[in-house]
Amino acid sequence: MNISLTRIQFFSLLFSIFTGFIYIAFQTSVISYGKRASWLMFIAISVLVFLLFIFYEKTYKYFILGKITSFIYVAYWLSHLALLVAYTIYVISTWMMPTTPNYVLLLMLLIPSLYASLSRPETAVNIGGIFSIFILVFIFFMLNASKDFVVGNLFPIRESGMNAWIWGSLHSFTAYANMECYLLLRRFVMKNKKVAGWPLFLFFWGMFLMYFFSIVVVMMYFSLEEFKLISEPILYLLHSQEVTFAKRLDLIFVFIWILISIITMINFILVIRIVRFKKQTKPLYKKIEIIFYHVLIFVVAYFLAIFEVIEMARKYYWISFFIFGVLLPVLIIIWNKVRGRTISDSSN
Amino acid sequence: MVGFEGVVGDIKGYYAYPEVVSGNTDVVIIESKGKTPREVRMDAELKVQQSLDFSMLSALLIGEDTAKDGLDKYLDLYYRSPKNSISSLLIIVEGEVKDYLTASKMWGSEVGVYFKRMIESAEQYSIVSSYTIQSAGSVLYSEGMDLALPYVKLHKGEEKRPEVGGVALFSKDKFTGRLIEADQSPYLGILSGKHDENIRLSFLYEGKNPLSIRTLDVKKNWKLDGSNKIDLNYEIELEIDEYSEAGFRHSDLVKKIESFLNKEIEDKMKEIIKILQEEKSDVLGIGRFVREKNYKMYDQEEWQDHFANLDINVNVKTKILRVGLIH
Repeated sequence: MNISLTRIQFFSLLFSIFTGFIYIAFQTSVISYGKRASWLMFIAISVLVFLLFIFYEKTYKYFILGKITSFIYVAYWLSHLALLVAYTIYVISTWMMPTTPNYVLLLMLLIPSLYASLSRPETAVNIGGIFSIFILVFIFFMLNASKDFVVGNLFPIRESGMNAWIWGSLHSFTAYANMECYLLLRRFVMKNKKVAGWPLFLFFWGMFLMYFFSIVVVMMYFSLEEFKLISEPILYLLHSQEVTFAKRLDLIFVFIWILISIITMINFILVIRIVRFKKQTKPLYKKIEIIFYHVLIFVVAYFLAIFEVIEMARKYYWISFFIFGVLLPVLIIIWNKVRGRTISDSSN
Repeated sequence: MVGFEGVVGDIKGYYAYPEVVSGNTDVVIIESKGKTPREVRMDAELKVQQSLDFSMLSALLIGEDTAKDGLDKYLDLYYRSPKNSISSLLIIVEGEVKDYLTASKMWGSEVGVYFKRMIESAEQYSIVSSYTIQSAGSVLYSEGMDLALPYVKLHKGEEKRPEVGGVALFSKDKFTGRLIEADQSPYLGILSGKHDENIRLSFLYEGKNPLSIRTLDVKKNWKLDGSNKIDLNYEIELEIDEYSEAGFRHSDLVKKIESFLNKEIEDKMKEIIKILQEEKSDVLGIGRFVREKNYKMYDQEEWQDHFANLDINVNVKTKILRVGLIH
């Protein structure tokens, strides 16, 4: 499939893919493992990831997926999506709709995604634009709790030993899972649009600030011990806030988050479409395949939406960053560089 | 509003439930019992015409015996479920919980709101610090700090009106059974450094002249000195609210009153520190401070014992910034 992206479209797609599902949850594992110095670990890991972004910006031309690597990535993205959708319906049923059957919740998520995915790619590309506004609303209401912040919760950083540094750092990578999407989507940015340098710098550190803000805020609001009990600290923080216009502020944000999750899912499916569909692929075949993906996600997510699986995913999610976001892309880049193969850029 | 008393195995719950009787809304008090907080709630559900809604819960009254047994296991039900309001206030009450619900009925149908307003108003003058289910849970699960919940008792006169009795001191998650009385608790506010303005204190200057002050700002400066000594230094900026003798223009008088206040406030604060150490109740969060400054010195399991044996010095320096409309 061939699309061309403006710089804004490219970054908003990436922003949604990176932050979409995990923004309300990744803090718990980072802080539970990293303890008091979690915020510092997150800064250190973000610097490393930024260097990786620069490396990918210089080498994305060598990221060419063959038949086997395409299959591996599509399988990974689909299972990844199924897991994230399972997590989403788990959260919805815990926070908002405890008596609604899981299949209804799945349909609620998958039907809009199916509709958008069957439409032209531009629909999926542009839908991410509204995403950032929601995040700003999240941030605004989190600041509502500022009177209860305990700055002392961030110290002493020396309390985090070597073990905490290792595990806290590994879990910090969770925030940057899906690095391979940068490599994959980068080639579709219009040739005359510069990505390297300031644009990439602003995108990355803007996203970092959003993550960092959430880590610091929940650390100041909750005690370390509470992270053993609270899996979605941002929602819990909002749940404890009293506002005049709503009794349960958290419900509004669960609704917003559902929307964000649907948008993210649409964007993920777009990435799969890019890899799977060639110019010569018949439209009917494309439609059948997209429907098949959604049915597959429905079935797998239905069985994964249980506490044990969700906890296991929380524990090992960071591994996907290393295998699919670093190891495999670097091997593919080296392999193609040695062979001297590059992609042909989109031209407009 | 909800209230409960007793201990796990034999808990009694009371639910103030608005019911429409002959076109008028009346508050009915539902009594229930059970082995666990959840069972108590289920028992109450059997006695109402429609399911109890805890999303509007404004206050939770807890009996002394329950608080002494440890709050953790009683709050879990409220802390865990997203349907509950976790911004409801926690209040410890003296005697029978039911008496408070009955007594407060005479002030309208919104019994819970009555208690909430009462605590918020006491907090304005730093008599108590209000804790919600969430913020109390945060302290219960945190390191180096104990809870100090508002304590309410019934006025002993003919009219059984609930009144703020002071602050209930906790050690870990258990109520120690001891209070900081309402007349002492503003000093606890200064000690905690949380209430930085609007703390009102009254004295008799030279044994005869009424002297009242209002704090404008409290600057807290704690210093850890070695492994067992801590200095709690406070600079209090204040306004004279009441002083019947004229003569503030003589700068000497201001200085004299300042040194009088230094000693008076310091003595009161020392009394409070003594009570806290006797009860092993670190409601000031000195443990948090120690952990931040020297985390090796801090031991979560042993902290309450360590706190009780700390050498704590209190130093107060007052500064009169304003004297009111007349001087």
